[in-house]
Amino acid sequence: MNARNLLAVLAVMGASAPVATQAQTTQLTNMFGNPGGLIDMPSAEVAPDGELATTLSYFGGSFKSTLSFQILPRVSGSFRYTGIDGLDSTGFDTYYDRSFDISVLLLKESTSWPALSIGLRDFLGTGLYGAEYITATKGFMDGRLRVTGGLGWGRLGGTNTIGSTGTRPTEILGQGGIPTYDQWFRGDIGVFAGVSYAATDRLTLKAEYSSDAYELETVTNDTFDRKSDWNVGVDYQVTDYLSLGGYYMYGSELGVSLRMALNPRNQGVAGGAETAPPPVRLRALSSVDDLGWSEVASQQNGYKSELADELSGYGIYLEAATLKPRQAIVQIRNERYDIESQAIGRTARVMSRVLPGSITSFTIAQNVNGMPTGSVTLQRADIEQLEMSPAETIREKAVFASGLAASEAAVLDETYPRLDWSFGPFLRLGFFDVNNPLRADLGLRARGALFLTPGLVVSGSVTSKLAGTLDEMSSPNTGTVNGVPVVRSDSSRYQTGPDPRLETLYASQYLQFTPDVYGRLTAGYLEQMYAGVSAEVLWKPEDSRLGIGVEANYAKKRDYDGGFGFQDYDVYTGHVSAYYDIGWGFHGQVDVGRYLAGDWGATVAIDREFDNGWTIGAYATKTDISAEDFGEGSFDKGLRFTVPLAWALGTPSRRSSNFSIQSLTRDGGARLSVPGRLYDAVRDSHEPEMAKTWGKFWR
Amino acid sequence: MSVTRKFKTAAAALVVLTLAACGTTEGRQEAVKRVVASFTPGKGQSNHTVSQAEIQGALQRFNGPMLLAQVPSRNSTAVLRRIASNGPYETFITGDRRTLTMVDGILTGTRGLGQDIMNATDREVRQLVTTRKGGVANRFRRYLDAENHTYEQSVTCYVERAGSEAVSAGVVSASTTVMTEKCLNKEEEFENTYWVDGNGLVVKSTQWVGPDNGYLEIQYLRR
Repeated sequence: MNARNLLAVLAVMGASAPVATQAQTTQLTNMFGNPGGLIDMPSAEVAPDGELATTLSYFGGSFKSTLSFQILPRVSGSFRYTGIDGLDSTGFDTYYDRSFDISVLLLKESTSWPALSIGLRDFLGTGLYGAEYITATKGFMDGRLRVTGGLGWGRLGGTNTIGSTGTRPTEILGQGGIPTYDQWFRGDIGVFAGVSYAATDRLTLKAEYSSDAYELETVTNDTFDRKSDWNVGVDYQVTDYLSLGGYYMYGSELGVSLRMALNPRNQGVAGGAETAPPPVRLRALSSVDDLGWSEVASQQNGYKSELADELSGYGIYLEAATLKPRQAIVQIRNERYDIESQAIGRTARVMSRVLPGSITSFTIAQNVNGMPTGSVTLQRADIEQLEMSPAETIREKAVFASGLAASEAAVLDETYPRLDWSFGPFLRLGFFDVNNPLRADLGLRARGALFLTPGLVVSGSVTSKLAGTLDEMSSPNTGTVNGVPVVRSDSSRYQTGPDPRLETLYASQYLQFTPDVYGRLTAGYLEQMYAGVSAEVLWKPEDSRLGIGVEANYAKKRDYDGGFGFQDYDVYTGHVSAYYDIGWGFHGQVDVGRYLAGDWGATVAIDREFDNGWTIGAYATKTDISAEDFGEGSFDKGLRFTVPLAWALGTPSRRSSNFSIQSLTRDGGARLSVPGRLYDAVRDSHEPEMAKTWGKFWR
Repeated sequence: MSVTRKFKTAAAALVVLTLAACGTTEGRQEAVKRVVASFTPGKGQSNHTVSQAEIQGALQRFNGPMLLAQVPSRNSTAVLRRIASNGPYETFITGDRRTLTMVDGILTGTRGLGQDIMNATDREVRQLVTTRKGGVANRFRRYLDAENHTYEQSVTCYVERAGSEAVSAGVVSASTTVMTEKCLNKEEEFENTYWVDGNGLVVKSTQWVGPDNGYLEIQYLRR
């Protein structure tokens, strides 16, 4: 049976699965960091949806650190960084390797069927751990006892073989980093099996029969002795999110593992721990027809400044307001609430408390970078009547529109000019460089932004590195490598300290042209490596899940010393971008255009977005630079994460940490880092985004 | 310098620098405050008791209805004063800006406790309790989860009379009928107790908030 037929059979089995099924979930991971209760072998278990687990494991000279993510209830992916001592065929004392795995639960367990999974280990790159498997797991005793059996190819077909599916090619495609599809499910088939037993809620005992021959480690090299096919061990759950394991492996080695898990979906304070919002105040009947205030400018201004004062206590700043006899139109700047509906709700509450009784409707627009990006109009009577009702009822009454619906709000005198500044430490991380898994820099940063008029801001930052190793990364000393201009691979030369470096200094003008079209023009020192001019136009209707943007930039490479000077490399770069909220918590983005090295190509990114601000995603860029010229990895790709501070604190905050794990910093497919791109600024205040977490309106 | 030593130096430097961080940017100070607070026990924590003298002082300082509320699971007690009424809904606030919203003394909402009751549909239960009649009714409460999605908890409740008792606290003293309410669904089970006066007001109660907060003990100090 060849691989394709086998897949077809499995797919049919999956489609005809009985109704009463369940996934065998586990918080355990194996030595490879994949969800599963065995030691070195894969099982058909899955982690809870959204689980993000870090596994550190060691045995026989190999240290693995793996990040695994349950992408969908049935799909999990892992990224691994391995160091193997004594793999001296490579010329290094320690051989470092990166690998990616994916596994899919084809069939959930039923009373008569086991759960069935298919998986690929190390399916990109050099294929050190390259293996494919089909595995079945059946639970007994309410799932406390789980029995697994499976078939493996590649490494997992190294021993205990029962047959073969053709010959497995050995050559690496491109420069690594390309799916090794020509090898999948080809070659010898090995049999593996295992059993795990949860003796208590915390203690799991396990034993397995391995089909991995460890040929590279024990025959080609001599990192350990493989004396047996059997592994036994125990895992201990220390807390809900931390567990430890100890194993006796291959008849000769002790193995250990530690895993930490977190799940963006169910940790953090549910609903937030922030203090209460102000209660809605009902109008006095006598005030409803009193329009006297609207004739007197000083009274009008009094109401506006009272509103501004009250709102500022909630981290909301009144940028513009117009009070008409029956209607209030305001623009707010939300500096606190990561969930925008909460900012709107609190503003509406404060308006009900402060504004004269004759005003019957509130139009509230969120102002981002001087542009009102989205607005909500609420009837005051609805706010009064629905305060104690489910938030959905007021959403049905709310009218969402473009921010321009609030364009007639008059800008308050105190809004501009305004200085926003900060001074403090920064930590910059570099992951999984060829010679070092983690590098970091610690330094000080002073940052200021001067908001001059609506939409016009001058911003700058100066840094001083105090300690760190980011500057020790290797860097080319030539202007080009393989004919590709050096545009990013010398980034370490911009990380020296402690002399102060001008990080950024630029001016930006934001403009909203029509209800659906936004613009930005930015010029100056945009990032630590480049200065230039950047123009962007974004089409993103208020009720649309789709956005389309065009960005054109001219960039000139800056001197290594962090001053005002330039090197003699400049480039025109830019992209056409499509952004789409796919639904089910996924967001996709495609950028097509010209990159920093003058190469043409496209980037595809997909993120799983949690509605508390967490995002976990992957991206890949392929340009017209060939795999040979690009170098190791063949093309640029990576993982990216956003961790909201609010999730960690339990109280609202708009701050978040972003970090990414790039396979390698190369020059092909590199992009200019332009501050303040439009899409993220605009999207959050629009209805599709606010509707996801509208329950926060009354919180 | 060893790696450990280096790490310790870097960690110490980071802490010092974090404390030194300043600026106008919202959220920055908040994060710093939270980090500092987590290392200084006692301050900013909810572990707090209220003395009789404090109750008397509060009754003199404020007008209008007041409550004494206790969260046994958090070992915290607070005096609350009424800050708003919206129809039958009365909202009471603590000194540190947490609120309880009630109808006739029956809890329909909380804010600032964490895992708050966002709102409730419980008219049938309220009717049984305040008229001091036994019976069965459904009640629905809505909460937010860690992803800020609304979910509804629905339970079936069995209301029963359980005798009578005199209650007094603050300036309230009343002879009451004790009502119990046992609620359950597949996952949850709890039992509320209400002390109901002759006007149908719950002057004292023990009410379930949710798994994180457990029960809340509420007593009117002044009507």
